[in-house]
Amino acid sequence: MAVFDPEAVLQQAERLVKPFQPGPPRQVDVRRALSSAYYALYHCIVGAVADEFVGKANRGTARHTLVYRSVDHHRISKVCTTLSKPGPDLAPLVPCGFGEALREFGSTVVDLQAGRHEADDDPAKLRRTSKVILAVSRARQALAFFGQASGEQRLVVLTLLAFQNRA
Amino acid sequence: MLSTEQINRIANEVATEHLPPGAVLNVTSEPEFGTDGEETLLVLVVLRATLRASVTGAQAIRALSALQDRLHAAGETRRASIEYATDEELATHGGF
Repeated sequence: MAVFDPEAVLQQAERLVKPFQPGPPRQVDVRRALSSAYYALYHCIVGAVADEFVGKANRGTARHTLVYRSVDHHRISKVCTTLSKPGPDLAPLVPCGFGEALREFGSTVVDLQAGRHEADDDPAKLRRTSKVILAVSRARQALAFFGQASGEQRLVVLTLLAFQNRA
Repeated sequence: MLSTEQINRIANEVATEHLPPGAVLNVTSEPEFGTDGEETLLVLVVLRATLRASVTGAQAIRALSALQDRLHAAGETRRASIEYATDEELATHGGF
């Protein structure tokens, strides 16, 4: 099992907003939980990239770690945005587009990543338990969507995450 | 760019179409700024507290996709996101 098992990350987020004292959970816990909802998807993505190009059998090796850590958040946002509307440059790779499951996966990643930025960096707004609960549910469903995509389409996504054309 | 009234009407239609019957109490929106300084839209969907658990991840994902599609089709260029709160949370803490 991966160290950052996405389901374990989501369960941690749920634990953070379970009240252990009267009243709502602390803002610091709510914000950490919102961040975790995104990070569950992040670890799913970078783990899949490293497994694909280095191999599951090589988890824990320096090579696997290098690839795992090579995919940054900006690249993830860019590729996931593309899943809903692939440009003409991707037509040779996915002539029929990425399909509904990957489209929904991509839009959820982009939205939860924006939510993570706000939760971690914007002190002004109150974050509520409902937002966490729905973020965790959406992340869990997005993981299922990623699993439902065809092997070929997933491979194209992982390739786009790991490699890019020179500008 | 759509008016707040137009956005609220579309968002209300999308929320009631995609979320469980009776779960949506109110829908409002306000402009925001994204992390890169771009203009965005934040839609607040107020849920009946007793029905919050009935909203699934798939429904919430499809509601956001439908909202973005409908707003785009109506000429809106800002990226929209949905914030959820229950009536009980708003009664306790207030706020958007």
